[in-house]
Amino acid sequence: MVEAIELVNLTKSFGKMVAVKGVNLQIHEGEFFGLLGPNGAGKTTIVRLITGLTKPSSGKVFISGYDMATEPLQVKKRFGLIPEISNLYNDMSAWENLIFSAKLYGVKKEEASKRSLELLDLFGLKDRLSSRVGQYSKGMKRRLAIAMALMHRPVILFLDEPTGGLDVQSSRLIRQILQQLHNEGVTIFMTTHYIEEADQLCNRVAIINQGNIVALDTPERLRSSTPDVVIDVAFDSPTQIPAEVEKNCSKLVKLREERFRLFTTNPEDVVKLLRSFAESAGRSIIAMSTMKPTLEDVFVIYTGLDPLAAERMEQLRPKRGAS
Amino acid sequence: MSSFRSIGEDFMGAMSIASKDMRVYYLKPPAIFYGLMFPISLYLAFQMGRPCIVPEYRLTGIVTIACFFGASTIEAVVFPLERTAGTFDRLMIAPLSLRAIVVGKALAGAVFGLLTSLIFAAIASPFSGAIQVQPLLFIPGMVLSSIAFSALGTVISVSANDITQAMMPLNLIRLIMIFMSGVFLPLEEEYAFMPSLQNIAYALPLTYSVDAVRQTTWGPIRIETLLIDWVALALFSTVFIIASIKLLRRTLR
Repeated sequence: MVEAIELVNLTKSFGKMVAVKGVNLQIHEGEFFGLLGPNGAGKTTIVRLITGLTKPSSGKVFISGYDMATEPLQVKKRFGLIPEISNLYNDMSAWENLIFSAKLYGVKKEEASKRSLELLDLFGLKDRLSSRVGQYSKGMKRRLAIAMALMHRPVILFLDEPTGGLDVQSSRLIRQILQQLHNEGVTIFMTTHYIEEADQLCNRVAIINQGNIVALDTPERLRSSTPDVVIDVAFDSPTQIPAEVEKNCSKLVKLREERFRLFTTNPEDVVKLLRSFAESAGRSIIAMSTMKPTLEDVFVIYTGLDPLAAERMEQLRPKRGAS
Repeated sequence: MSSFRSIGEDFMGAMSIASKDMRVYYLKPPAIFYGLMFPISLYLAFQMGRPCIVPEYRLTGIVTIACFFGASTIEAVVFPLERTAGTFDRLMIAPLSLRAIVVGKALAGAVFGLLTSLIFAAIASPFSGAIQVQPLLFIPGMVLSSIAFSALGTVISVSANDITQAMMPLNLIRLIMIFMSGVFLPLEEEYAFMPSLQNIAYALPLTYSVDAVRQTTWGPIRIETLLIDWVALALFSTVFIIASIKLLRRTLR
């Protein structure tokens, strides 16, 4: 079966800096795929490589079986892209933006008008179709950018941080529409900082760090991929976690001066050690909870730089050609 | 058959890009300043500050400068603004060839140059002495000049990320060409101090544009040299468009 998106040993270097390091990925038709990673991890570069905005230093990109290097026009007809910044023509109206988008994709005039009305209605912009886009709010601009990407009914949609910096109403509407598109069979490839969003929407998630895919699986499996338990502890005053406790943890995150998140495979001992530390140091534990790691915790473990997490990353790194 | 369809799609795409650029960028302040105000000021400086324009070059000078600045300015405004706003990516991900994108952009500049030069010609004609405009020969020269200058603006601007980055080299090239192409004086007079340097003028598109305008507004018309002017302008346009496509491809790296 032809994959919707296939990346084969994709590498991109900018001078001596390797931004994307031999990425292999297969995204199935109709899948909702999320790419998570910290700033500068290579997410946007991957989107630009897949959509042909940047040429890879080596490796291949296939979209619906077509090679981006040799059949770019066939590839470009199949996808829509919503970049991180809503790239609209601010001096034109929403209607003019949509019609221009239709012209670029060769959508016939009658179909373009019909589709524009349909999309403006879907994204709640029908009342403002004649207003200059420059007067739109950030959320409205984002919605229009997505509408423009959908004008030619693409089978694959790329979204780079689709809800970044948006108000709750716009974010919810966008998530609902993405879910609806996914239900209609559109393949969606999304990068996001919002881990909960990826958890909620995506069938599979990849975590990228420093240009490498360090984890790739369903959100459920990723959550259970780490044997760690998360302990959230808050003291009554600022303190430092003693080395004896830290020794029993794979990762320690300082949330505030007096609040810490500890990742451990040995929660019972760590809880005991924390209690005895509090007693001996004359401090009180005002809150302590243990829980299974969330996707965000998993993200922290995989993108963290502590040696234990790095070691685990290496064990869980997807093998070449893994899907 | 499929190549005909692809040419048709490219043509439609180029026309859409050109009409959008006309709608969005013609009235942007940098386009008005560099495309209209700058050439007017330059012309007036030559005409009034220290009058040095011979009568037969009065109309030629203003028309070619207007065409040159107008046609080459639009790209120097459009490319950087679109790169900054990210709208250029919108064109790059569309199923269009790089040729369609470059031609569409150049077309918008060419129309701007043609319009400004025709407006300037209409305004300046009553003050230009004994002119005898031959419209059927004048218009093709202006169209080809607009395309050549617009294509030149495209080469300079295609990879620019801000307007200054495009305008600085463009203005340098413009000024050099104005001084070397006989815009206000016959080439023989301009290079009287060293006639051998005159050959440099024949490597510049503005020289052919000036000659085409001068012949068709003042005379005498020598059809063979007019044809040479047209062919030269068409060749410059082709070379500049090809170079622009190559430079645009390089920006993907």
